[in-house]
Amino acid sequence: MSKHVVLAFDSIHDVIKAEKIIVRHGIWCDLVPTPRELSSDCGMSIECRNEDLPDLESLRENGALTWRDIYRT
Amino acid sequence: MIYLDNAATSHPKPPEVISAVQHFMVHVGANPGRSGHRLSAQAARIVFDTRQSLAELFGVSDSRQIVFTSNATAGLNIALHGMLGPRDHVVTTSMEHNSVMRTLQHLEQERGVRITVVQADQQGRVDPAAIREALEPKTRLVAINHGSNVVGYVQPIAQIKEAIGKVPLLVDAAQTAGSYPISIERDGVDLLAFSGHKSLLGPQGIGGLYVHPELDLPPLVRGGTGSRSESDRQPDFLPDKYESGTLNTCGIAGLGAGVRFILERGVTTIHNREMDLLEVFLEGLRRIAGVVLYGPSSTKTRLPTVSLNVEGKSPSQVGGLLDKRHDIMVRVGLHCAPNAHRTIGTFPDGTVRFSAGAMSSRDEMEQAVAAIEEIARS
Ligand SMILES: Cc1ncc(COP(=O)(O)O)c(C=O)c1O
Repeated sequence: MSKHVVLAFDSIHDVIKAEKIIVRHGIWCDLVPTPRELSSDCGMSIECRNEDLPDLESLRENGALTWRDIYRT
Repeated sequence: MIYLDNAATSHPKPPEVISAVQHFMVHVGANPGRSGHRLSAQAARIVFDTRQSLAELFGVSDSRQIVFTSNATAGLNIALHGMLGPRDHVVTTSMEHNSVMRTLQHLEQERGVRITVVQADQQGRVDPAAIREALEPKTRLVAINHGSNVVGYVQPIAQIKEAIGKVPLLVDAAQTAGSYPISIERDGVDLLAFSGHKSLLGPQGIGGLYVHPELDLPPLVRGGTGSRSESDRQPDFLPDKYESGTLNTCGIAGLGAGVRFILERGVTTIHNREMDLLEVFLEGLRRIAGVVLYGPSSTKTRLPTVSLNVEGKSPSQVGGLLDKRHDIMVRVGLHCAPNAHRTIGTFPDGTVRFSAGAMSSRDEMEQAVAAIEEIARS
């Protein structure tokens, strides 16, 4: 199983907003150049650990996070 | 040196603003978000933080609705060009700056836009009922200068919005942003343009525009945004829709520090302090024979901007003496607002304008009074 996921967003504004929310919830993340597979989005994306995906999904469900696309490395 | 030309550009800036600009230049420097590296991310965080601080200051719940421009003029141009189509009707006032009036004149010629100018009274006050009476079925926009750059009066925008109902309201907040409380969502403002280099205490070359989420106006400039790079089409989401090309990140860094300086102290505290300075200044001036004061005489709903003339001397003579003999910097003439001067009866010579700011002191106001007294006597 892959260890990381990459979350892609519409704009760099949304990326930075999401980064702040993820960090505030004590979840590890890193900003990375958007992988080619996701190139329809903005230049930067957020890499997270696979194991944190359930927590990220619940943040998305309550509207805090708004990624458009997800890619498993 | 006494600087009383804050209505043109605020000076000096708080030390935090200078440090923020320097920090960006020395330690960050990169293009915000365009490239995937650490410095690019750091630059993007600075842009994000400044946008968030502005949203907090202006009472906006989603900071994406605030877009950066080079100055208030650029924001006003996006708003006016975007809102007014062929033969649309716009209502504005006799207190507008050339950034609004010249753009409207252009749209009148190019698109047949019809303009109704509502006359302010001699103090520069606009009656919300007069705005409502000027509305027509095809009125697409009401454009109002919030705080006069000539006489300092602040128009009641919440009452104006109440009077015009659903017609979108564009507020030119070049003079008020940072020195007078503004609550965009509570007051029902649809579009608001601001300068970063005046009371928001940032550097020159940065400003912005708030756009209500339900408004769909085309951008004035299209190009690279760092998003949707594979597509030939301009993004339709904010802020990217209106932010093509590399931003003035250096200016945005300084502006962010300026806005945080204001948020820490509170805009009402800054405003009240400026009204105390204004009181000192006006009291001193009233005692001098031969000084003609324009605009409202009270310190209610206004800015610390004062227009005056000295009998027997032209504004430029007075300005020259203040600069050369008294080391006091002011602005003389028409202040890019000829109609405002027609309204207060000072066209075409204009006035001498003193504008205090967040960094002004009581002592400076007293010295300015003494200088005017000497000039009036000479
Ligand atoms: C009322 C008003 N509107 C617009 C502007 C234009 O501001 P900027 O120079 O930031 O474009 C000014 C500045 O002088 C102003 O006083």
